[in-house]
Amino acid sequence: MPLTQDDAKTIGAVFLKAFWKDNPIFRQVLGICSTLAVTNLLSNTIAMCVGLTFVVVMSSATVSALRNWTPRRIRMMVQTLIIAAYVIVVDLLLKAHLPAISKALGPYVGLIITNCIIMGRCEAFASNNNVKASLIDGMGSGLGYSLVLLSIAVVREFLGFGTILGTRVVGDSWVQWTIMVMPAGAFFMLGLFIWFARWAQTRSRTEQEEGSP
Amino acid sequence: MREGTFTILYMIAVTGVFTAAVSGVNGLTMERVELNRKFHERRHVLGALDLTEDPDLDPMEVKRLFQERVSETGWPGREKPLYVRLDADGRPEGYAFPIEGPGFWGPIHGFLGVAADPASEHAGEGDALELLGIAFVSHSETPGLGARIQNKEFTEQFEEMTLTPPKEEGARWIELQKEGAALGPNEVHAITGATRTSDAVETFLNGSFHEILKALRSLRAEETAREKEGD
Repeated sequence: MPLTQDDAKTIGAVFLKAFWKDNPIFRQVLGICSTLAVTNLLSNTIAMCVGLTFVVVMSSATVSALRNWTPRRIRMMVQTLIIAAYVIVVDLLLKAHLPAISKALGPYVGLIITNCIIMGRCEAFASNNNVKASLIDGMGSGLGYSLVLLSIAVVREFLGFGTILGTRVVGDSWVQWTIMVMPAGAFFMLGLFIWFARWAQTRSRTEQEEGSP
Repeated sequence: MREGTFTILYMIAVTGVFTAAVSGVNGLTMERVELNRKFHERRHVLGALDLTEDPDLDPMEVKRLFQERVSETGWPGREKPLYVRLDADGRPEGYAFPIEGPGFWGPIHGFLGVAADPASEHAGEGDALELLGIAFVSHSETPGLGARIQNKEFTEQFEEMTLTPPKEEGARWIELQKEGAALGPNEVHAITGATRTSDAVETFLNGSFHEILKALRSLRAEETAREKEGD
């Protein structure tokens, strides 16, 4: 089925809303636990982002596909079950194929189950929208989460270890910012990021309003 | 069908489908996951037994070294096997004793390699432990800080260290000192910036030497008995 112009517009709008306007981290402030925990090394963060995006996309699609049959009363149970199944799959695949990263992420892969972003998207979007829109919404949320985590991880790894993806990018005289490796460093970075992102959002909104009186 | 009945049947069906899917993936990955776990542990055993200096030894090399130089033996009261380093004639040269204890953030597991026979200058004393090395298999310490217990700079300090039982009751076998401090024969440098992790490691190491010495004595006695039989 070819996409009509309207479809493309809706898809773009759904994606942009999930990715930027209602970004799970700096607008909704969800999923903070993993944001703080896994962002001190870029390689771990990438694995976490891929895992979370996979889970949120697949869960949204599945919840959406079952939405007309699932009794309202037990929908949360069904959603949790679906999310848990995908998370276990991700955990097993990491253990089998990327054991080093799986070890480094420790319990945080399993904890994707309780990540509010996924539950939130399933409940708020996927349970009332069709599969295609839910896929796009899940993708937007997952990538929106990844955008924030990867930005934080790049800065934390660079300042904390003097490396990017494990490769040294500064000379030996570099003094490592130990605090960036510690959880406190993540709080600073997250705070700064939210500050910056909200400033950018407010500014673009003000400009739009001024531009179209 | 009544709504309640449908709800229950629906939940059962959905649970069945997803459980089956997860079990399927588990079945497909099980073998590989177990291989990874074993390989990870064995690589650290080789490090503790001072059979390799390379922290990123590839699987084939680990397998070869294990076939040639390491055997497994039972250990009274423990489920896990005890890894034994063998010399060219197949005689035990050292043992990798499992060590574990609470770290700063979570449990730490590892192996401590100890020579089968005490070094010649301590031969008369009998109770000296000559360390071959130490390796930490798993931990949850802070990356870049406490996690440096796995780094060569920390672990190589234990190689060829000889520890004698403390003279006083309750004194320490081994002590961790500040980085840069002068070291006595039973001292190693702690990790700067990870005092709590260093303290935790010091505490559980000191707690395990007694048992290691006891096990080592019985292993030595067994070996002597076996040699006499051979004669």
